[in-house]
Amino acid sequence: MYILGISAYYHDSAAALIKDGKVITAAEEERFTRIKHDNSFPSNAIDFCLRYAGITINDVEYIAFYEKPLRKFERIVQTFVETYPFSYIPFWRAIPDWVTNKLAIKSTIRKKLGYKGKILFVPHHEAHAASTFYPSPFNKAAIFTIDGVGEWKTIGLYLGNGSDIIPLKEIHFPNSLGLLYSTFTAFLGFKVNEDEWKVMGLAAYGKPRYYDMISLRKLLK
Amino acid sequence: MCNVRISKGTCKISLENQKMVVNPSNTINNYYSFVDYSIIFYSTTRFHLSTGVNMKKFFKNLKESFKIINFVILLPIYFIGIGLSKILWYFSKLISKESRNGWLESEKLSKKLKNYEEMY
Repeated sequence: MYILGISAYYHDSAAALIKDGKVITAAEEERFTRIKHDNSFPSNAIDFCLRYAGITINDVEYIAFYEKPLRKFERIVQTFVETYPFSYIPFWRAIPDWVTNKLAIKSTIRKKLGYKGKILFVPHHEAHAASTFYPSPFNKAAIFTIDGVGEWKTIGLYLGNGSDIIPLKEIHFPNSLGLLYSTFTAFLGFKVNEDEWKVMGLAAYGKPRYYDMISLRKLLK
Repeated sequence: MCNVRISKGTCKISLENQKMVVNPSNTINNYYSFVDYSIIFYSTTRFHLSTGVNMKKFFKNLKESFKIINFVILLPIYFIGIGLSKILWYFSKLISKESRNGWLESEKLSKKLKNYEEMY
């Protein structure tokens, strides 16, 4: 059984192909289009995965998308409402993309790939949890996901047991350790969702002069 | 001399010896750029009006350029729609005691495939 995983329209669009529970290939769209962090629909990456496996799209049993778009849209609209009237510029920038691409992802997949099978929408943090637990050598493990933000979830605690992932506890937006990291990335003049790794790398060369000022103990209660 | 060519999804603008390529669909993906569409709109209009040729093509290009109209639509949606929602949200918050702070208990993951087919 083949399952095709897709991420698109956020950053670094990519595709991965799973055969009988094993990842057999994966590719990022930017490698084909030569556009850094390309977020367009990953047609080239999907094409590569299918050619690598020697199959066509009709052989794929399920296509899995990496988040629940409507739940995420709910969070974004609610944030616009809560931060009104200061959210106009983010609203103006984000809404056309949501209307033209993100909310129409199901029809886009069917149209661009000519796919008639089932399309599944996996909650964002559960997708992260699965990607770390299933390829691991452990049969039972605690799983901890820390991300900027998924649909609502920013941190998730799970128990992995065999083929099951059991959600235990979670923290919701706007309380986010990942977004705090991104905020510091932006503060230092780097690009969010692109340059977090630079901050991480440079941190090793710095001295903790501002540790007391930005201590997580003070920031996080 | 301004020369503009719009093919499907791509707009090529040549200004004397300088060339610029604008891809509207990519522009939307990388956050909507008002300036890019202004350039396309201005350049196409000026070029076609000055030459007075191929009006059919002109209107086709104009339609493409009028994606800028999103701006006109989004402005009232935001200030009226989101504004009214803000008022409703404010009153609902007075009533509701729901809190998003701290650790929350997670819901069990569904084992039904049908639930994963939902976008919500």
